[in-house]
Amino acid sequence: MKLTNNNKLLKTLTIPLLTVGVYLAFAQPVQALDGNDFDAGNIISNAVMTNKASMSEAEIQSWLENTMNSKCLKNYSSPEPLGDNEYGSNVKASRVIWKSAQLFNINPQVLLVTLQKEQGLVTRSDCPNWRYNTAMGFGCPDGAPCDEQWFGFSQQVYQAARHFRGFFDNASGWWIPFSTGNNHVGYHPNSSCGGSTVNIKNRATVALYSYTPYQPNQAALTYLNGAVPDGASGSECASYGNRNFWRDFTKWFGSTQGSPFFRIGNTAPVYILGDNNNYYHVPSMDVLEVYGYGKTIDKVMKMDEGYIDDLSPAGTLPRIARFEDKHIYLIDDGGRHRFTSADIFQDDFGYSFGDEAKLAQNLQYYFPSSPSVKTVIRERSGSAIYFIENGQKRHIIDGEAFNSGSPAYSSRSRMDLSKNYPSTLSNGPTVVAADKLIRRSNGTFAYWDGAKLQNINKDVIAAMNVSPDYRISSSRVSGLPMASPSSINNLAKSTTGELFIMDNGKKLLIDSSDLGDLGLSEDDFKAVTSNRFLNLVRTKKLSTAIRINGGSAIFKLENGKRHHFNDWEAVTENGFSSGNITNVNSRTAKLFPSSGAAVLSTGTLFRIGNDARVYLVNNLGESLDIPSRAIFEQYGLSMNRVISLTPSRAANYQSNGVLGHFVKNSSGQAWMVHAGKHKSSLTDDVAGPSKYNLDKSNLPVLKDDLINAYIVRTDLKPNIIRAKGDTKVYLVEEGKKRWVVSRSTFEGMGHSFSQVTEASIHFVNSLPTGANID
Amino acid sequence: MNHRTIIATILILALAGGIAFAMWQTNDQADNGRSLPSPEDVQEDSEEPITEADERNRNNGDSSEQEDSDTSSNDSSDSDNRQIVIPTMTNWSWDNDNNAATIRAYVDGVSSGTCRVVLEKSGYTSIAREAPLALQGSIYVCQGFNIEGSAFPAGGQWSVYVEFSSDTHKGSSIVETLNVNL
Repeated sequence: MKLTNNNKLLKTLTIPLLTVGVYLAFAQPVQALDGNDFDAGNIISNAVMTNKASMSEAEIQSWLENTMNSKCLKNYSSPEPLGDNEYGSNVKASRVIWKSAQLFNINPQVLLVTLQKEQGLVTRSDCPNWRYNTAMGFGCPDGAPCDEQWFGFSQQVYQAARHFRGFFDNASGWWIPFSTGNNHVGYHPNSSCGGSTVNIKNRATVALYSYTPYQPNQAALTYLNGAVPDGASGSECASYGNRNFWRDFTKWFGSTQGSPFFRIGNTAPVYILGDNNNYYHVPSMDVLEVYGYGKTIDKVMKMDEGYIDDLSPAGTLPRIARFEDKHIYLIDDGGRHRFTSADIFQDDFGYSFGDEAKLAQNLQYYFPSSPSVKTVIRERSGSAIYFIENGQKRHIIDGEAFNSGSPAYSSRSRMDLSKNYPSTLSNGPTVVAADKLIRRSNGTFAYWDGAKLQNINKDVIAAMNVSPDYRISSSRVSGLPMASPSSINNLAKSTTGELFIMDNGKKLLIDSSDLGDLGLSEDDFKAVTSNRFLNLVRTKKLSTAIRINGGSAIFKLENGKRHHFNDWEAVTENGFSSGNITNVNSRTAKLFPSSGAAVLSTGTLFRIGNDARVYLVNNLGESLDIPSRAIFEQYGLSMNRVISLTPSRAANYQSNGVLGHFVKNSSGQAWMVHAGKHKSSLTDDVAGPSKYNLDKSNLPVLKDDLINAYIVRTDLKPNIIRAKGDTKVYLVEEGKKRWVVSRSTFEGMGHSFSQVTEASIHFVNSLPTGANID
Repeated sequence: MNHRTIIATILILALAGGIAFAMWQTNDQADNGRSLPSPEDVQEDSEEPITEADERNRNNGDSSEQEDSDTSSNDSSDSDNRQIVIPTMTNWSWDNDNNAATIRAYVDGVSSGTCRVVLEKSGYTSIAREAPLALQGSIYVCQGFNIEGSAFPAGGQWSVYVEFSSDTHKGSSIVETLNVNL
């Protein structure tokens, strides 16, 4: 076999096999027709009835031969209709049908279905001549013989087409038994079967009834695919003509309502007629699907070239339409949903009058009346629910949000729309329930109280130790109305004036008397109305002594700064205890920057860096310079007790004097400290005006452990002193030292040298000198 | 790919397609077999379609598939030996545009005769018009009636019915009500 022959064989085999393959791949069960879908008032649309271009002559022949394998018609020949009831030579039945259709602008499919309805010529297996003679049942009234003058296949088809046209056009001089509007249509030629009032909606249906004046009863519709069995209810009054017409047309050619859309020949653009000799262009498949004809684009009616030549273009077809009346409809999923108010049309959906397509009135029947437009919509093929407002769709984020609103969105009527429609609307702010924390896609946070939005610093979120309720695109939050102030930090003020800091899920209440120490004013606290914040379960008063994140370091808050307590005694000296130290997180701590200065306890010895000078912290929050090694040693101090501080850490303890001999312990007991780590009680008499003339309350306080270690000398008199290494003995009177010049005088005053207190030269020299005692 | 391979592939595809088709058919039949017959199933058993011609023949009492029956099984006769036929009024309405009453009727089972519409209102002289019966398409219709508004002495509700009369048949339709909007 030559290669060329192989190629031929390949083509010969491949094409039919591919055809079978494609058929098998796409063959799907045809949805069963339901007799209840039969509309006695609208059996076929005007547009379908008069669509003469639905099939070409060749397509009719192919349909008879290949699709239906019509034994009676595929090879039948009959004279060609020429018009004016004249006929030419024999042509195929397909041409007779097509030619008759063209002569009277009737859909050839209507003629094919009528041939089947009247004599079964499309599908029957026997083809007696009498069936051709009365092929269309023309001139064959019920209860009377057929009129022989109309016998013959061509004449039958021609006259039937002519009469369909005449009935359709309400031809002058014709007494057409039906008209649009209410008519009585019987169920059967037997008048005792009765009938019903049928509101006939178009001329095409008028034409069908004027050709066959019966409607199917319920039994005929129930037994849609055949005759009602004898004896079954309704069998005696069942007629099948118009039922079969509708059934067979639908099965063979699709809906008798066809498509309101058309194209010119096989060109791609799809159009729909407007109301004023104009037409709209369908811009996309999406729009065609909105109008319910996306899946049946193959059913778009093919019109002759020149069909739109006398029409003017009206633009592209929008998704809203008016059908020559006052109502405007949203078209979706093939249905028309009426806007019930201008507010919904304009304010909610954002349309303007004039945006709608103005379509021919009769086209409304292609789009079933559907529930009116609601502002709460649900995607039919999904679960998303939206609230329509300001021309935007607002996604209702969850069930709680759905139950929010006033009235609640869930209580409002809603409409189901195709997924196609919401995608055409821009996104508005997401609907969330009140009292929710939102994390935007850009990482920022906001709080929604149900009416207003407040930005929240992310530190606050962290400080609250809570997770946001929603993560929402930033753009879907931006449209929400902002509160004033527009943002809140962790300093908050409740509606009752309560000041607090949000910290780790608790409220740290602020005593207004502490504001100075905290370095804050009421203006720093932003008003919040959020229950989310106000109802924080754990509430605690913020102390001016804090720990940070549970650490061991304790800080004193003062003048807006935090100062490190150097030791626990410093804490207690400042009036704090373990029970009133507040643990805060580091974000709260940031509100109070470190001063760098330490809080030292009274009696603390420190020096600056490695400087030799040592200071003693007194009870007044100051330090006293220890002026000499002698004093240092007199107090029995050890360098081990001296801490080294940086200048900044010691900044709060400026030197304000020199450590002398007089100190107090923590309980206020005054002592005179003298050499050898001895101490003598500084009685009121000694300290009084007649002697040292001291203010005991201002005496520096020495740490108890030091003072307690000193030896109490009750044998010495603190007001009789001499400098170490000096022989001069002084009597201290009225705050001055007076040298007792002679021993005899001294002893004569009743004193003994064993009672003399040895003091440092520095101390002795520091006392004012009074008159000698000779 | 050589030609033998191609041909073999095609044949395999064809075989697979055939098997798939056969299974599809088998399943379809099996499904039908499991179910009780529905009204549709009963009707699908018919070999030939139900046609208007067959129904006409049946209604005419003729089962011979011939079209030349001239009797009506629904007819009866009265004392003057004329058979009774019931005209069917299909439309009775007031045409505001033309200020006229429109009445339409047809008569089954006869091929000639006279239709007569009668309009009555208590207290007024009745109105009657006649028109011949004629075949229009496949229906013998009354060649009337458009009755101008000036023929009505008063508006409101009028009773309307159609009578038929011929040498062999007679009858009257159901009486209906027409609203006359003068």
